[in-house]
Amino acid sequence: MTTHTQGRDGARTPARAPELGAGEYVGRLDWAGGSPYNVPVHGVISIAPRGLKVRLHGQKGKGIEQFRVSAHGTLRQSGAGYAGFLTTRIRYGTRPVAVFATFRDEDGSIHIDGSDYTIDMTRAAAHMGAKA
Amino acid sequence: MNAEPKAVDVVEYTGSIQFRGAKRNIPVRGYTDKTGMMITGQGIAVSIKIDLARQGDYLAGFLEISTERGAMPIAAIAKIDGNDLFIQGFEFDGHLSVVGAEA
Repeated sequence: MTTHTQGRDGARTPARAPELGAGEYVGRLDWAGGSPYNVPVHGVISIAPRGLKVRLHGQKGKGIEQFRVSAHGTLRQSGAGYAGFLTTRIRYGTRPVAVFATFRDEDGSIHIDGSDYTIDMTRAAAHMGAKA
Repeated sequence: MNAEPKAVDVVEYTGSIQFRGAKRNIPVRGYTDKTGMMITGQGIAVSIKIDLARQGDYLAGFLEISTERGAMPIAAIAKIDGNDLFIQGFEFDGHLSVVGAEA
């Protein structure tokens, strides 16, 4: 399935709202701010009025080396895109981070692009199926 | 009578936005204030309007790209970094500078 169209003027735009998959997701957060760069995360996505409710958390390492991240918030939908703020806790405290989210129809995964980090997650069920 | 308080927090920006797929560069200008950002621009057969909400130095919302075939909203985010404002979204990104502070 296509996730974008390319018009006569060459502009590529999302083709339509993708099949939205509410449920549990697993993936990783890549933080641009420094090590550790890849933190495994577990998230729950649910449908909210006019948008998408996102809640995720993750951790890497143990003991004093442990690194925790969490993010939650509601992204507003317009057309095929989602954008908004996720209240994010990442190393240096909690702050709002602007993000936009894109669903990929091909595998039902979600890509969240933030100013300081990116998050890639796939459906937890699909992840379990791939493991089996 | 007191006059309306002057919007001292309004900052004007100018710059451009590049659409990667279309390899198109559209000059834009606009402003930020306490609540968000509004930027407009026009290219060949394409006009854009960006309306983003603000929390601190971060902004998020939707860019509306209009062509002869209609309008399409695209999710976008932006970050203010000194005199620079960086904006990114689905297959586009842009850089703007405070008017008067362009490199």
